Amino acid sequence: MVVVATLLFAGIAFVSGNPHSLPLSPAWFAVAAVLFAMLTGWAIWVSASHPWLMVAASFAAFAALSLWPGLAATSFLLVTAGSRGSRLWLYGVSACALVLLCNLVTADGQPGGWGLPTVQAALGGATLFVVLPMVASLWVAARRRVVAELRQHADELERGQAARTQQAQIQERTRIAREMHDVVAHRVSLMVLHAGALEVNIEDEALAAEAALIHETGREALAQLRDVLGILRSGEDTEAHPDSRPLLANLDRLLDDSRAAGLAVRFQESGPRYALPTMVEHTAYRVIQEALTNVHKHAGAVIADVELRYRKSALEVEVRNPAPSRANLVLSPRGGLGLLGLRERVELVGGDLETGPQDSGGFRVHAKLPVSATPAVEAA
Amino acid sequence: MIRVLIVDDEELVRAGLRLILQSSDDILVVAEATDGGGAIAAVRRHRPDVILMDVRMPGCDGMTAAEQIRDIDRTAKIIMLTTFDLDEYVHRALRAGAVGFLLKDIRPRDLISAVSTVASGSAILAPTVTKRLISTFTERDGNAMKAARAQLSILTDREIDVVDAVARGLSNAEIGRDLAISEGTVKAHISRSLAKLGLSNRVQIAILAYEARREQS
Repeated sequence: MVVVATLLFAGIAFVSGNPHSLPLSPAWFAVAAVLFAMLTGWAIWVSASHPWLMVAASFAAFAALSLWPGLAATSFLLVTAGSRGSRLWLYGVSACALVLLCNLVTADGQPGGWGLPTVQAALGGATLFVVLPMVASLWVAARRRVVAELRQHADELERGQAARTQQAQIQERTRIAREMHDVVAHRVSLMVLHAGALEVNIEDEALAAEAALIHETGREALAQLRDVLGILRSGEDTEAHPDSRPLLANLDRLLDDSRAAGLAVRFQESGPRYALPTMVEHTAYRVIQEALTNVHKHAGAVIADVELRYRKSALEVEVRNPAPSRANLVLSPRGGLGLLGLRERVELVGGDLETGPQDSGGFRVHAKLPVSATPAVEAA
Repeated sequence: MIRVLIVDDEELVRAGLRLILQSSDDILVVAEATDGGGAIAAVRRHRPDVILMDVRMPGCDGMTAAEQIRDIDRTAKIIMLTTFDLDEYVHRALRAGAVGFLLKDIRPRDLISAVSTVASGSAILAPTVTKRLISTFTERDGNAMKAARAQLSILTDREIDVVDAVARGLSNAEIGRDLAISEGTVKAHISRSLAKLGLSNRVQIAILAYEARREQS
């Protein structure tokens, strides 16, 4: 780059061949131009650590041969290098003074007079070689700073969003773990209870001992489960009331809560109702809960449709809402967090979750939760 | 014969409990109910000695039912059933007058002996678990403390000593040893305190003592 710049300098010197420069024969002028161009090029090369060298070289090149590219480059680069305030002012003023002086004094040392053309040329030179590059450079620097700030701001937003997403994921996973543990603990305690019933009702001692073994093993499993639950529950326990347990039996209550919050909800159920595995039931409940929360948040007071379809091999849950009732309601960019947790939940029970805008401008959440062919045991 | 009522919303739990209790010659399961409302009706009709009741049920839960059953029949002993030992509902049921709680994975022989013990008028709580439960969920606010202290202030100094010992989870024999009085005297102090405070069992005494912060540990 430096080589290219140097050649460019020399070339410009030849072309411009300023009449005000030192009285040299064309050959010597060429030599001097190349020398000055190399000097200035080198000074620019080291300008990061010695900015004054660049200033000195370009001043000398301009004073001796009216080589302006060095001066223009210096004016630009000094700002880029970070010079500000009094130092920059000092440079600007002295560079302008240099240009004016060189224009007012002719090549042979005679004053060029104060005629209008001379002053015009001097001012034009100062503007072109000093002021303009400096202003341009300051503008570029300011722009760069703005862009950097914007980028940093965007990065921070992105990091914050990532942190919130992670937080939401952790919370949801904890909740899933808690529900799963509740379900498992409940089932295991049933097994333990019946093993105990077997133990006391069997005449055969060996078989009674076997039943006792099952009973004790189950008790140990439960004790360990309780330890884990203690950890999982150490946070807030929002599901303390049995009516707020995420079961479809409590769906009416959930829908009523939504209605009380100002959201009209239409509920429809189709297909023959059958007993669902507890985790599927929890998931279905959470899908409806989260979807209604989102409708309320993003669409305001509209009519939401909640549909439960008991299909042969799967339970389908769908929540739809029309376009927002108020024009000023826009989808918040953070709207997807709850849906993220939902997707995890739904995938946990082997289901599919589809979410997205409808053609009509509304939003639709659809979950398909597979149910095994033998739900009989779950009926209890 | 001890007449028992089983209350649980789950068929499988009721069946298991019934199978275990029926294996004892001294126990008769007189009725089953699926929720608190059914339990109250069954108490009116069958007058059971002991009620085994799930804490969490849809509709009228065990805690609410325990309160109402106390109003109907103060002699019926209520044992709460729970899957988890540290359950706020259990604590509230104990406050409401349940004599104790059992985990659903209890050993069958322990369940039978617990029912017999309760029927004979004693408490069945493992002191450590009860203490943990009470200290975890007891209200720690100033108003509860003031109210509890006001209630306890009608007791004599000796009775308060006994109440403190009960709250520490000591048995009557242990309290007698500690205070150098006979077990019979301890029992007398406890029943007089219960009568004065309008309470029905020693668990409620322990909760009250905790609320008054007479027992800090």
